[in-house]
Amino acid sequence: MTSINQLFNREQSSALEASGSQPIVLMGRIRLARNLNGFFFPGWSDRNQRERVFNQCKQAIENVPQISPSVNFDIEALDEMERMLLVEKHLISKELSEGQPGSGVVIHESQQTSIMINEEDHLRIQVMSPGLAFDELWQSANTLDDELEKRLDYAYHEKFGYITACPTNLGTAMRASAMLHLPALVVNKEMEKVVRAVNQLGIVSRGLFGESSDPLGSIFQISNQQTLGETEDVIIQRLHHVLETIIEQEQYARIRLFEQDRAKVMDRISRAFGVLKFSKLLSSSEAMNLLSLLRLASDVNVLPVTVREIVDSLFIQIQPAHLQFSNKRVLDTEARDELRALRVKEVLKDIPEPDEISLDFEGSFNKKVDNFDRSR
Amino acid sequence: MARPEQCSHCNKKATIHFSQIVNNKVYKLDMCEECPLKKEVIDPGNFSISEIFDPQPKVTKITADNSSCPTCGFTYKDFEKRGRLGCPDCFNHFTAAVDVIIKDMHYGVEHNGKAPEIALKRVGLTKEIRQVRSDLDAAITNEDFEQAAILRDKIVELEESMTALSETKAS
Repeated sequence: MTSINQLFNREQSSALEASGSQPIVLMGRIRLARNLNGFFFPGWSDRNQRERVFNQCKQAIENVPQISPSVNFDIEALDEMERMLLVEKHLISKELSEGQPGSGVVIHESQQTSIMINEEDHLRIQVMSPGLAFDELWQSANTLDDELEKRLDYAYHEKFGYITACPTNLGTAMRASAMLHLPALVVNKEMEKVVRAVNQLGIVSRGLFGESSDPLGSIFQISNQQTLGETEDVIIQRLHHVLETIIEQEQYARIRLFEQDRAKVMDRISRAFGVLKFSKLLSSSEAMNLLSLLRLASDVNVLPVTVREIVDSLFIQIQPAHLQFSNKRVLDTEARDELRALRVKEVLKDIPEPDEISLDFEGSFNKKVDNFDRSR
Repeated sequence: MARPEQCSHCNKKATIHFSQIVNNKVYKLDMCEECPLKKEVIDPGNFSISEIFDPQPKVTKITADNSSCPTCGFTYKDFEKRGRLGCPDCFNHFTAAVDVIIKDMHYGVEHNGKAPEIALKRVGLTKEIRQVRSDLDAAITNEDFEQAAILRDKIVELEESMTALSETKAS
């Protein structure tokens, strides 16, 4: 408990809450799966073996400069709320939070790098950052992996590459993903078409909390499906290209939306603003969906640019475990909805109301596309 | 075709039967009432069996394999049930089955990316030792004892390099 407090009470924030927010893009992430020779995979081994793996990995990780200073948690030592807090911050997966004995996580102080131990695989290394800085992300994941390889006996197969418990991850065992905010594509009902098109390219789309979760707040996680047969660079490059196209589609969808249905869209944004400012009870899904509209408004300058950062931070802070953690006790649903409404109202207190006079697509759009590394 | 009676994810009775066609392939799912909730299959619009559940191995092409992994005791049946394997050695034991599965799953069937240097050296050494051992056997059979002595020394040398590899790791 003390270390969870140490980690989160500091003015540090996770990748999703960090500054440097961009229109459409929330954050990028790269995850590598690794396993050790001589041990069964976590799902097939017993507590004793998992604990040996856990200790061995923990020890190896401790000496790696790329992930220090860090804190580590044995999952069983965390209560339900603390586990959910880590899930909401995208530092651990739902699967790890289920609390299989002998599993845990090491988290870098920056909250942008974490290593899950004994999730589906012995090791799941992940690095994330705001924006789409895949070159940097790959570089840090790669160096961290090199350092770990010096200290641990990785399972590797000449033909299948890095060995993973599930054959879907074989080869590079790398999943690169981006979290995108695509409200206009959702409103225009074009998302289904986009998902189908990217699937053809081996790219998959999921909701905010991965796997089968709903696209709450029009936030999608988009990642590569295949891991075997291509180099990491080629996989990242293809994903990059697809993301660029999706972002462009969202931009066009926004222009269409505001040109064809300006009154309607402005009405939705203004209503969202009103509800967020004046409601007494806010469920987390309602809040996510309304905040999503404010983020859109901020991207197109209908609300001040600073609203985007506020929204990104709220996306995390209004999640159930975060509310309870900040309130230092367990709350039932209604108490949470009440506290959520209060928090949101407080944060939006000084924000001026949405104003279509300042509507402007240009400023935000070009900057973002230029952030792609075109030299790849 | 009779429906399986058991949930494909736990041992309870299957009461929900679901079929979905993706790219002209039929995916079937038989589950008890609880597993879909656990797996969060709630919104039918967003729900693709092939994605949510680990890819069902394309059983048709794989003849029943009743053997088990000598290292961890995992069987092919376990794999069908769980979608994951038991230990790294399973990939040496079930190579043929994995070969078939990955064809439909990935861009290629052979790894083309980063490789861990030390692990690679170990793979190389293991291969070399195996080769020299079989050369040694051949030399002995041919009563070429001079050659056999050379090969024996070579094996000792290779095994020493192998030990050295794990020692760099420990330090």
